[in-house]
Amino acid sequence: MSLSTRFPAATAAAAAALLLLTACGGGSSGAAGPSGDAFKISFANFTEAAPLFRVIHTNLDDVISRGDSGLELKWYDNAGDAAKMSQNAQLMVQDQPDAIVVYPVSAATQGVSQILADGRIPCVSVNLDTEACDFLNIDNRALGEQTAEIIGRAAAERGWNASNTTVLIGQNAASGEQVNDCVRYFYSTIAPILGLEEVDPTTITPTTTTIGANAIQFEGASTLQPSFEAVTNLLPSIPAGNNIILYTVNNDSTTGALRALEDAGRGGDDVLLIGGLGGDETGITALREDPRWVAEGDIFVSWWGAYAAAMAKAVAEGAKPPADVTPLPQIVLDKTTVDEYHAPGSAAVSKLPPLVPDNEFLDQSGVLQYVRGVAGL
Amino acid sequence: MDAGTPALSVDGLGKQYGRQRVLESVSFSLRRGEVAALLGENGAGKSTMAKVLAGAISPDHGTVAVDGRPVTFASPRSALLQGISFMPQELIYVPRLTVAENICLGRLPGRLGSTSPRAIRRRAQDEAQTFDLDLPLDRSMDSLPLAQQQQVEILKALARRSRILLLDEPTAALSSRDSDQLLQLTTTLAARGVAVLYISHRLDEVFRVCDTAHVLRNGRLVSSSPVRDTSPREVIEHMLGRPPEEIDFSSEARPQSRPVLELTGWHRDRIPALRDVSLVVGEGEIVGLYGVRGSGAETIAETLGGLHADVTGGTVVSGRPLRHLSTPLAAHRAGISYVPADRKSQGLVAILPIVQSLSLAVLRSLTRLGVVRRRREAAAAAGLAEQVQLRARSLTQPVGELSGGNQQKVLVGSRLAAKPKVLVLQEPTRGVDVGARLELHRLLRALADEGTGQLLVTSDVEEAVGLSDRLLVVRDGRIVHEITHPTHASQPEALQAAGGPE
Amino acid sequence: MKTTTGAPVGDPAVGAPGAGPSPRRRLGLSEGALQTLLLFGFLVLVAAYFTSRDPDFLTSRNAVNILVNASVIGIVSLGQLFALVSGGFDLSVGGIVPLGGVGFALLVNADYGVLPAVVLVLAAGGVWGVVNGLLIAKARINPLIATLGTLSVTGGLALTLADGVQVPFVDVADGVLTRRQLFDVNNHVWIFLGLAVVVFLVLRYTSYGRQLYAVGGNKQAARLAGIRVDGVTVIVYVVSGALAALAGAVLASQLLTGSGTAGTNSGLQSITAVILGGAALSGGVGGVPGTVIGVLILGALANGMAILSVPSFYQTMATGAVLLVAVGISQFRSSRRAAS
Repeated sequence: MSLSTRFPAATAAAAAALLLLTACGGGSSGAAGPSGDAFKISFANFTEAAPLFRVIHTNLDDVISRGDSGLELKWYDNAGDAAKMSQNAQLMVQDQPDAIVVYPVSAATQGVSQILADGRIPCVSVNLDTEACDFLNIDNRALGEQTAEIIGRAAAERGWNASNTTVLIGQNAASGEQVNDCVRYFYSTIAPILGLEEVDPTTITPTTTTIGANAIQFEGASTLQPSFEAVTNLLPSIPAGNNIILYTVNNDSTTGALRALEDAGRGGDDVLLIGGLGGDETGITALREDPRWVAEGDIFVSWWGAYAAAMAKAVAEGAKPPADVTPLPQIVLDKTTVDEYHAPGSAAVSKLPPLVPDNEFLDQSGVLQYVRGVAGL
Repeated sequence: MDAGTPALSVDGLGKQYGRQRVLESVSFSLRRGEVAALLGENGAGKSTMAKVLAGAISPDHGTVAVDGRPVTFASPRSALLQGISFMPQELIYVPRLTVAENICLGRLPGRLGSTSPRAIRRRAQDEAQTFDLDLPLDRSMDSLPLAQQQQVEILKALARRSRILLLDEPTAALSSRDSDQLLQLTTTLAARGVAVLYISHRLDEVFRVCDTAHVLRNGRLVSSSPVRDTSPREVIEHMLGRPPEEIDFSSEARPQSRPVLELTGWHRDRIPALRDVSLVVGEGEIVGLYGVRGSGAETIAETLGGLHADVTGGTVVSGRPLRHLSTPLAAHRAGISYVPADRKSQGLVAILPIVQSLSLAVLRSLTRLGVVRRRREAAAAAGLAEQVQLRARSLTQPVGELSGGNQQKVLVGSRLAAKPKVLVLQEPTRGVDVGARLELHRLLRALADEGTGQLLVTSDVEEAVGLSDRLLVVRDGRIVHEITHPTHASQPEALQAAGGPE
Repeated sequence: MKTTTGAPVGDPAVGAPGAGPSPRRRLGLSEGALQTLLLFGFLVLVAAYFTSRDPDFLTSRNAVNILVNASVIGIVSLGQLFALVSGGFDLSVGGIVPLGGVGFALLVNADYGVLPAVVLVLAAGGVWGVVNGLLIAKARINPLIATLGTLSVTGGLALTLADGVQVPFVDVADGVLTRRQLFDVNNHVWIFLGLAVVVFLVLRYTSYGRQLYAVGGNKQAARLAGIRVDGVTVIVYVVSGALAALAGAVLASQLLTGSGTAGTNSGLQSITAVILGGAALSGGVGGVPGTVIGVLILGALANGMAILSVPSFYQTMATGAVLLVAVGISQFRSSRRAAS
């Protein structure tokens, strides 16, 4: 096809996309069962603009479209914005669904909590705690610690230690303390393994930039470009010839940092070890193919929607979740275990970790049965 | 308070910028009820003096006393509190507020921060009645003609109980009828005990309303005398520092020349309207078009500049009929160069260097493959600067730094660059000092002698009769009168035809 | 007819404006050149300070680090310079950069080849520029509102094209725009420097550049001088849009991913850089040397503070403070100039 014929095609595609955009703007309804006696859930996602969060939406739609789940979803987009989220909370309460699921933006939790508390509708808060709701979350600390153990072992085998290693951890200050537990406990766990300066993990805060002589914390905002820029700028602070261990709060941030290291010629197979976090396509593919990428904290984010919906329904039907937190499925994979949970050659989840005592009640709601196409439950 | 104490006295005032002395030991005083003129060429120190009195700048030496009490002004507000109000040439008001609101601005009626539209209107009405002014109190300020805006501003000052009023060239942009009204108001105020300091270029006005004339030259006060004891000629001599020469701009009887511009049946319905305007400008001829504001004379000039697309009628330039004249670019292409009235907002780009200002309208001819040929441009600019007798430190100086007269020369020069077939000038010497005005007139005459036909649109009757070979008077959108060889003595005839005072 | 006045031609007292010779006059520098020089001095000062705290700052390797980051926003700023000189500004670059990035990623993944993809992306940016230009010049919508509108539309379009996910390059060879080749410096740094030279020449030596400054300085006067103000304005936004789209392609190459969220801050960042470089929101002022230095100052600050381990919160504050101080000083100077 010649260039001249391709361009109009591209423009037409763009125009079509624009039409599509206007057609489904606003709070779109997901696949719905018969609307009369369906269980209605209003679900406010963190943002629809980042792939990590978008799959929560698409996968849940996919799950409930598989059969008669009896669920009817109405979606809201917090767009990563506190004001937008607060507005969504009001809209959801006003809509009087049977249950509410919210993936909050950290800065708005207090105010939103008040709105949800006043609404008296059962609610589930995902990943970030909202006082008025039951809390469903991963254990960030465990992820950081387990990843550190895998990477620490690999690094120690190569003879990396305080004399030749820099640990680079990427935080996202805006997403709050819990999320950053992973990088904090990553360092506190790997430090003794490699003989680096040991610090109390609680002393690593958003304003911490250097930890001892061997670690640097950068602000990556969980996104590609800021992570790239931050790491490019601090390159001179990494002693020449040092090996680098990279771990951040998510794989976007890790990818941005990795591009900066590669761009500066510091991404060689024998001088860099990476621990991923997310279990997304980037991480799973890299864990299989990239010799530097030796661990991946798999949190099965694509299934969070299903777990949250299951929990929302269970809670509305009277189940009593644990007081502090209901655990989401998670596991840190290494190169040998990756194919157990993801179909070989694909990033698709083929198995979920079994339910544990703290989240066994999710099974009662009858939602997770639709997830059973995936092994493990 | 002792009646003999001057309302305002200035003693030994001095102000210096760098090494330049702008004001040097200036002393004078102003009685209550006195109208005093402050005269001088541009750059003589008048504006600095006004700014000092208005509290906008502080002097280096000397004292200012109000009612015998020495005062220091930290800001325009403190000057206001001392009873001094300054009305600058370019009025400062809130355009979208009503007249009443503007009058009461800064001291709204009511207490504890609450006020009401009715209270505001009532107070404004009271003030207007006190001074016998009839103003449309409910209209928004920006919908008023300039003359009324000035009246509002004066009333605003009076409403603040100002006892001293500084007026900076208030009539520069007014028609003669409006000027008369303003002068009348000034006299009324003086009769009520307000002291007025009147800054102006127009000697005729000074001699009509002022009691005293103070003349500044190079920052020094060179003469102060009651107007009845002096003459315009003497004042000009003081301003220039030498006796004035007699200049004669009369053109010798000109043989009937080839027409360069012909307008036939120009018509416009929107205000200001035009009704069947036809005129001819010959090669080397200066045709004056005189009329008061709103008469339609300025509309004719603006239309020739390409600013009004809604005028119908025929236009022929050098024998070639024009199909349309709806944009400035079309006017340029037709060979018409238009010098707009307001050089600041319409004429010049203040931040551009002189060279670039002079070449702006002819960039295309100085460009090869999109690149400006700088050497050619510089040569062309130097030629034009010499032709208009521009005085500047260097041609790379931004035009905004020049005096009004020199700015006007740059503007005219930029229009000459295109070697126009016809030059349309609108108020070419407005706000320009006496010396520069004369030079501009001389330049225009020389251009005419070289063959450039000119249409001179002016509301300054002295300019109209002094420069034109033929004078057309416009009134209510029609050409109502023609004076074939106007002289100084034609002024009353022109004024009368235009509908001004007899 | 007689007019009685006197005119001493050549009288030095008449029309001699201003104060005594100032330092710049003695040096024969224009005001703009002096300001650029001062700004350059500030950059040197910033560099000297960081070097004194950590010698790693002043290495050729680190200079490249600064340029790698600064060049992306630098390309956007060159376009933004047009907009600011014209008396407007272009917020829509914050949407066109991600749009360009996503579009570029989609095109190279569809095997169009890097060069045709760049051309198409430039054209798409230019088309959005035409939209901006027509809204501003013909529909007479204020640039703030017009480009705020297109910012949302283009930003949303970028997310839509990417379908909410990121678009990783299938073939990393397509990241050639940012590869280190000539003198081990990234290609996009050369692209930025080359564009800076071209824009410098265009603004300074072409009739378009002249007309642009005239339009920005006084639109009405420019129109009366026979300049096609509308045409000049439309070109402004075409250039700005095309350069923003190019910056998006560069950013995508850098990250080897087209992302609907990468570069969304570039509107305010580029305006900051250009204003820091001496341009004024009122138009008619500004130039390439100042803009490049402004971009470098911001880049050097971010880099230096990272090397000195300044927490990111403080970095944001410091950037704002530098802008306010620089613009404050320039305002102070120009108000003093106006008073004298």
